[in-house]
Amino acid sequence: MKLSVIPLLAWTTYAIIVVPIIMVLGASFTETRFITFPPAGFTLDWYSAAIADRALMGGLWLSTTVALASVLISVCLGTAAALYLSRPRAFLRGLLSSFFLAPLNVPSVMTAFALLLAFTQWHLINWYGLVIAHVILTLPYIVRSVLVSLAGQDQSIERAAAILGASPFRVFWLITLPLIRPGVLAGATFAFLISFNNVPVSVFISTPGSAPLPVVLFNRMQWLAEPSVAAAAALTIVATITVMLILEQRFSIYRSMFR
Amino acid sequence: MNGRSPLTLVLPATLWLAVAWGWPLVLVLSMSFRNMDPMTFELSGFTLKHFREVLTDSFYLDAIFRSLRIATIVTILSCVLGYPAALHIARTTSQRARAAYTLILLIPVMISLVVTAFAWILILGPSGFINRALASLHLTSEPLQFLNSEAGIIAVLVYSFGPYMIINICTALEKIDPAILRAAELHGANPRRVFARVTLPLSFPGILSGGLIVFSLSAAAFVTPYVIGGNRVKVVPLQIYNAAVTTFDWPMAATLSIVLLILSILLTTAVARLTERRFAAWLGGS
Repeated sequence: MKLSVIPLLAWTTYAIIVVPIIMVLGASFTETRFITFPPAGFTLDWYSAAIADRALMGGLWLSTTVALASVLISVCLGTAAALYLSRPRAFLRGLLSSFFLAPLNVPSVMTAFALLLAFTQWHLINWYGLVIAHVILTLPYIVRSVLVSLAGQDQSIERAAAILGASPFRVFWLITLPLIRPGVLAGATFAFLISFNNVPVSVFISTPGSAPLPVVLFNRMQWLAEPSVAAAAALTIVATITVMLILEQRFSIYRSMFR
Repeated sequence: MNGRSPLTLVLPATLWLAVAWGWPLVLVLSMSFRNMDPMTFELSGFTLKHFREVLTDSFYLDAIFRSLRIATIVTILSCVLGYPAALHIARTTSQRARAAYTLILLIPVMISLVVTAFAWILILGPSGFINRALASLHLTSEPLQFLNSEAGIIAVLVYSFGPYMIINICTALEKIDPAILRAAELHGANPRRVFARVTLPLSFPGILSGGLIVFSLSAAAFVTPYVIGGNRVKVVPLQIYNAAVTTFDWPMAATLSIVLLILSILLTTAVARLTERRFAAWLGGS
């Protein structure tokens, strides 16, 4: 009996996760002027409305550029930090490791408010401020995934290269980096999604004129949800799941992020 | 790269975090002790009145208890509803199937909270899927109010953060040596007893670590309460958001942030203590 109950309950869970997502995709095709599921009729009008909507498309562009810039920065910072932290006897190793993971443990709304306070003073309520903030949010994931892939490496290869006279930089470039590349790329892809879909922090530090896509959706949701919002939401779902599938196909998300 | 330990590697990331995140947090702390003129927004002096207000005014106390209650219910529900899926994934031997299940679990984690909330409005709204289904079955005469209620917020938070619980339980389950389970069976325990006496206790660390994540994420969430609760169900993060961007009462937003942080630190240390003692007892007993 037990054997059949658990898969049944598990499949119910999977269904409950997937169904709302399918509903958003379905609702974006409705012919009505309001959102409804199941959709009435089939039209792509709301997608053309979303594409013609300057705020939505501006938000999409902003989200993409902020995500790319912040991932690029946090990959550089995070990989270097992880290389240091991977040494078993590094100075302040334990303290620094928990410091780099701390942004995940402090309530996000507090981080968001803190950044609002500081960035208002520093005149950073703009694109640069968003990038700086998203580096803070993505850094822990990069450090973690690079540390995981460094832990699986045979250090003797690096030592051999060093003994044969390679400079530390050459050792990194020719040996370490190729070995940890899957970990770096997996962390970067994951970090991209984290940044691209973030609302709690972005909503505090963006202005109506320059808001990332999820923040634009957040602001619109307050009045009424029109089908073009469903279309934009559907676009982010498709983009996110596509990136997740690529990540899974190439590196196995679970292996690289949660081990 | 062995031998010496070039601190320069870790310096850029440390500086970035310290300046762009650590310093702003210090600003929050100092802001919570300042007086603010409500007309001119000018800051002055040193005061403890915001902390006194938060700890005595029922407006804030109610929100604190509501936040803790919601987070507790979300954590318990995530554990109970998520456990079967965790067991199922841990027992799946096919790598492909397991990858597919984890990918499904990660969808709510990766999709934007706004999009998730939006999806649930389609389901729970007055003209949403559930209400229309109930109406067409003639079970209800007028739509049930799921939105603007704690129940609706709890449902969506379980959806968004429950996967963290499942993943943590699953990791703990995978660490269980199958030989222990076989030994229990050979000694005559039926599957139910094996589960209650072996599997469940051994997955306890996963429940705790998953529970900690789910609890702190739910206690700090404001996007879901804002969209699903229509800014009406007052939880602490929502009050922080409103104080920060609507009424510009920054000292109060700062004070509430500090209170939220202290609560989450207290909880984390309590759970860490509890696990240590538990493990010590188990190790001592075996």
